[in-house]
Amino acid sequence: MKLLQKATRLYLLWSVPVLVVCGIGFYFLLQRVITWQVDELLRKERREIVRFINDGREDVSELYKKITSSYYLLRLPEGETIEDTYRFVYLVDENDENEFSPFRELRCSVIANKQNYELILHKSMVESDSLMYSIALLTLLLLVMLMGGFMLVNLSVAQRIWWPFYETLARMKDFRTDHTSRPGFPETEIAEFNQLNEVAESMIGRIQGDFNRQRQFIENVAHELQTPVSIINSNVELLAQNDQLTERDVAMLQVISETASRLAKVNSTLLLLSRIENEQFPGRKEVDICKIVENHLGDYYEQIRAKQIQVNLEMPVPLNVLINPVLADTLVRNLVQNAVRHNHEGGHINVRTEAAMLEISNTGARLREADPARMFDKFVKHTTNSDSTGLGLAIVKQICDSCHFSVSYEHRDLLHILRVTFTQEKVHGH
Amino acid sequence: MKLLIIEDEQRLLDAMLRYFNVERYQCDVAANYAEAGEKLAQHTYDCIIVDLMLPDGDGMDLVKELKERRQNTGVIIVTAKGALEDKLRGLELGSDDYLTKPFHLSELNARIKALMRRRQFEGQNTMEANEISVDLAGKTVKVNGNAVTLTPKEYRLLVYFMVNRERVVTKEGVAQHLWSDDFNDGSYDFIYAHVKNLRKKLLEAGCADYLKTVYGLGYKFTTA
Repeated sequence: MKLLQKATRLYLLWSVPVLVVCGIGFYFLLQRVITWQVDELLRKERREIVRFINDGREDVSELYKKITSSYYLLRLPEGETIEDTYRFVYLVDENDENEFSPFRELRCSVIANKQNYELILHKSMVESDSLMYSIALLTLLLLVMLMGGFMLVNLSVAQRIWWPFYETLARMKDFRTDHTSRPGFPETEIAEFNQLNEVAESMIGRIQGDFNRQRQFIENVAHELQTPVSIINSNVELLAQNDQLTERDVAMLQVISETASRLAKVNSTLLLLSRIENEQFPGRKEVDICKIVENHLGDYYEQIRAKQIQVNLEMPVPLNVLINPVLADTLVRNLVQNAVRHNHEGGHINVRTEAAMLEISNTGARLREADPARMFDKFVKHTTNSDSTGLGLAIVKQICDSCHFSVSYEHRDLLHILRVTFTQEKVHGH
Repeated sequence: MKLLIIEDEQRLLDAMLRYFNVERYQCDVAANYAEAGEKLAQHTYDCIIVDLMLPDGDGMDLVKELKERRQNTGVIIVTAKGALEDKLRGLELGSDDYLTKPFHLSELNARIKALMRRRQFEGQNTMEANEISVDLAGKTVKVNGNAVTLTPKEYRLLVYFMVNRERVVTKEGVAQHLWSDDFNDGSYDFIYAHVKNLRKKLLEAGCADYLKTVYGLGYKFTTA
């Protein structure tokens, strides 16, 4: 859940009960206030009635002009009093005989004209109730609007406050360790975010430093090994000129020579990887991948023939890709080499292209390593073939990474399928 | 022919000297930048082999200096760095060839000879071994005057063997020559097939069998 979403949800979760409790409280309070007022009115009208009787007037219509409630006056025996009691009653409405309406009743005893009476006053509550409902409704509406408004204000404030945080997050997501550039976090007024940026920046700096040192180390090791391998090679060659070598000597010399060769290959591949990582292959141009595939299949003609591999090409139209030509060549060569090397006798190689996709599939032994993700790791060998350096697919991956292409592997219908998609992922510039 | 080898690694230098001993090169050596500068100022060489990474300087500066003096000296750069820019920069500055470590001596020898041929005959030359005659400009091969059709790889193989004649050439050296810096498949069966085809074509054209297999190690082209 997003931060703002969470905040809003929490806000709603708390505001709704508060709203309900407040609403109910308000309703009762309002009812109370209105009832007091009605009671006050009833007392006033009682005085009015008592005064009317005391004055001994006859014309009741005069009294009716002054009071709004209906009343009943009953004689009470002398000395008997009734305490003032207020209550709600439901009585038949004056206007509609089928309907009961709420009335406020005051029952009490009065002494008027020296006579003891029981007085019952009834005041209709219909109007005050509807007023109360209106007030309650309006207030509720106001409250809801207030809360909604608050929420929107909160949201926009939160958005503004949290913006640097999201910006930092986005930059960190885009950040790639192999880039030399710093992510460049936005400057903010909020101390915590500045602190976060500082910490993130220094961490990235350390990671970049480590990464570069490691890369430099690999590069240096590879470079430093070139001269010793040269020396081994040279001495093997010198020794090979000796025609007095025994068969055992020759066998040992052969092992030395082959091993040195393998070492050289690992070395040059590591250097190539590091050069791709360092982006030392600038300059892109449009190249036709299909043509490169055909060239490389031609280069492997002898091996393909020797293994009696059947090659099926399905490349209907040229596949033009904007890429450094050397990288394109290296990419395709490694894919083709992979398909040939790990094939078995009488197997197949299928090459298929689509709009921006190259797929090379080949028959071959099942892999020991089942995890497709590890296919592209350095030095993960899937065969016991000592000619294999286990770096071919790492190069493919590295090239795809540096060009923002995607590459995937799957094993389906006894085929090893490698697919390169040349659509360039969106790259965020800084 | 006068040759200056500028290389700071003594063991490699020794191996080079021993290998070139058979050729009739007159070899001078320099183990560092300063020494190389002195020698280049005092003498004129037909060819220099220069390692770019010297303990006291950049070999590239030597090349620059040499080319500024407009001496007709062939330059082969040797480096442990295989970076493309270095190669292009070297060639731009006027070096004639560029060899990445680790290399085979047979390869270096082939490069020196190719360079010398280019400079001396300006591209129009032939190479001969008894009845075999190779036109290096037209890249054609004749045996007893009759043309033999070779594939590009077979042609490169033949020239390579002839340049390094009377020497054992290891199959690793052959692989490096045929596929250069391509991170090749490394399968030596490959080479075996090419050599077999080449030998067959030469024999069919009536050529003597000069191409000897040195079991386990490589091949030797010998007319002796």
